[in-house]
Amino acid sequence: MGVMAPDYAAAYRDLVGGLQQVGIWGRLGIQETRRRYRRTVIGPFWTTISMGIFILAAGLVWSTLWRQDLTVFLPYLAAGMITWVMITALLLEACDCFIKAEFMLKQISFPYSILVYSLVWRNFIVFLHNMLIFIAVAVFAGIVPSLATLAVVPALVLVGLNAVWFTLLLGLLCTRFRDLQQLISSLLQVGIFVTPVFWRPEQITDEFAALVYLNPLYYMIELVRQPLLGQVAPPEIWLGSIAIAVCGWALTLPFYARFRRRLPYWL
Amino acid sequence: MASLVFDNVTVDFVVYGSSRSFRSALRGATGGLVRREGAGSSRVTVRALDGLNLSLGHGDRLGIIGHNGAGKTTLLRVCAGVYEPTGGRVISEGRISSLLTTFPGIDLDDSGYENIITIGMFLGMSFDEIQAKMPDIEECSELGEYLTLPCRTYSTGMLIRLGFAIATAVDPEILILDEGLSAGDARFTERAAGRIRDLIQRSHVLVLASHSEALIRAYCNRAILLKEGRLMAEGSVDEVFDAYGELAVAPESGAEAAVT
Repeated sequence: MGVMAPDYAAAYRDLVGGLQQVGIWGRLGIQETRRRYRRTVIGPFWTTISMGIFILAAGLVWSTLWRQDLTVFLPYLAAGMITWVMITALLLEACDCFIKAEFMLKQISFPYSILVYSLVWRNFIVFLHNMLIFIAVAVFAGIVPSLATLAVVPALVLVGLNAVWFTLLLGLLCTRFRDLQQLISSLLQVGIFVTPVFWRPEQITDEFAALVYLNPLYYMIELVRQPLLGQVAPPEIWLGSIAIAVCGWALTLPFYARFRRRLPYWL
Repeated sequence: MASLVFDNVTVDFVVYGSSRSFRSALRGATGGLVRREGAGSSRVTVRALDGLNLSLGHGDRLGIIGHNGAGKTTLLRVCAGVYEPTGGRVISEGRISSLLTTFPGIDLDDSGYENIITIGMFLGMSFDEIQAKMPDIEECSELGEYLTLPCRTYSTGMLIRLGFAIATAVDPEILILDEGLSAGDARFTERAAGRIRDLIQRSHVLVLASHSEALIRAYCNRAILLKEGRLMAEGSVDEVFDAYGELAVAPESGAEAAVT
């Protein structure tokens, strides 16, 4: 192990071939969502409702504590929170996306990337459910959709490009090193406090500014949050997100090319 | 033309998280060669297949014979493309279907119909192909109205029939079969045997692993004998079964002698 040369052709076949099989990963994502509707009246909306209650309560308390206008703070919190939940759910679920499919992976040969695409797609569907919270908040706050709102589409595409690489990378790493998942979940618990979701980046003092500007999650959240609030995110946010995507793929591709074939052995 | 060629194929498993006691447990086991890499290395590897050469073409029906732990399942998985060999190459041409189990990932919360489509897609069929095969799958599974219900309402026998019906609906060029392909109660077993026969006849190349001499004699025109991941004999079914008989009589050298 480890001395084998990276096989870029196989990695490419896996990633592109898997993407083309949209019939499978599209279906897997939808089936999983449907399962959450089974035997419940509102299915995945339960998570939406509980998140809605959290956002409303936290929004009311903090806007009072920090003397902020509720119609400004609540949309900010809602947009940030639903994006945060999507990205962190992906980071967490990425860890066992291959482990959970052990049975399939040991019986049938198929592009492993299918599992990654279906995970990203499913979490996007959940994001759309949670968007209802934001829409309700936006109506309350009187946010009118503008041309800038459309920037949410390329923003989500860019987040998706990032999601695919980190899901793939984490999925592989966690299959080999099973402790990693615990580490990531503990990091994420702290993550929500050090990432500007509950607070604004300009509220932080200079000595802690690195928490914001060196935090990749900040870029992705800001990228989606700003257009939802009616502005296009500033260029440094776009450039930062693009840089994260480029670096991420530059790291993941050679890694995947080298270790893809080891995956069934690690299960 | 369907073909499957093994060029000096070797498969080493690295045993992760093996403790000292587990390591000593491995020594007494039958199976592949257990070795540690370098002096005092904590990495334990098991050589499941050792330098296998094999060439199968159109019409070849290969039976794999060997004791438990001889490497049969690993060999099937390499044929199926599940494991890429750690040494050597596998060159294959043609659509490969592997039926190593009758439960290729049935989701208990989904209905029978939903599972047929999902699993069918994983087995390499298109949506239209699956729809075209649906009446056949419905009939074979004998599940009737149950197909609209979630699979968790099924009995074990019903789950086996569903899995079997889907798995045997494929049109493979290269078919990889494990004898573990069980099929429920006695009456269904009879029908299942007929369905497997059809499936084998539809395929161009067959690789079948089994302990059952009858099964291999019935379906195969070539055979190989594996022991500790090495090819011990190769040739006609008769020749290889003769060699297998001798192997069984010979004193068990076991894996113990192989570990140094």
